Amino acid sequence: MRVRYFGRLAEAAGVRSEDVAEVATIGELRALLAGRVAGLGDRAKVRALVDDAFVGEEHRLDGVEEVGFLPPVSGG
Amino acid sequence: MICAEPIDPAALLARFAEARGDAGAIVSFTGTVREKGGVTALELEHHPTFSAKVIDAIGDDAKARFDLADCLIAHRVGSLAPGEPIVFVAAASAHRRAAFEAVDYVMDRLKTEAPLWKRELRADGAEWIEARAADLADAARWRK
Repeated sequence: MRVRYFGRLAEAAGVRSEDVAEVATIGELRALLAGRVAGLGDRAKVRALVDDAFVGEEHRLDGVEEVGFLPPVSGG
Repeated sequence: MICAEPIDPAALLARFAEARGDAGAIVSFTGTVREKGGVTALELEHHPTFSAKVIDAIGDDAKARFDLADCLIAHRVGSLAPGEPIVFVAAASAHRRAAFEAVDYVMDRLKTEAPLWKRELRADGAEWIEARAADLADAARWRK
């Protein structure tokens, strides 16, 4: 499964994307990566995106090819 | 729309006004990169598919909410120099109030919802920019 990082998370991860071993849920994926990618563990600020839709921690990753982690935005 | 190349607000407005000149009222807003001590460039990152979808949805919401004839949003991404246009919004409606409000509404939502990430580059490093409390309060006005 591919994980993509945006904004400050890409800087924290040191890469824009990487392949990660299969895990069951978004929550597990977050737990797996949070120790290495500073800020990723902050559920209130960093949201997970699957197929261009925000998903919760319980969202199952069966068949999911890509997960994006999006930090707080700043458009305009 | 997401623009990787420089935005030309005058050209965008001219085209929009030509297509929607019969609406009655056209209001446009151009946001530029503020001159700020030490900042040499502003970098904007976007999501390859999601950013455009969110921006389009904000435009559609504005059209429905303010009964607009049309709404155009052009948002720049990539590396911008101080003074360069970063965002252009235009709204066309039958009466001026709706067009003024629609542009204000679109900007408030872009600031707080558009999946874009800004970083200021300085000679001595870089700093990520996030929506400020004032931006969030501005956006909350429309949910009342």
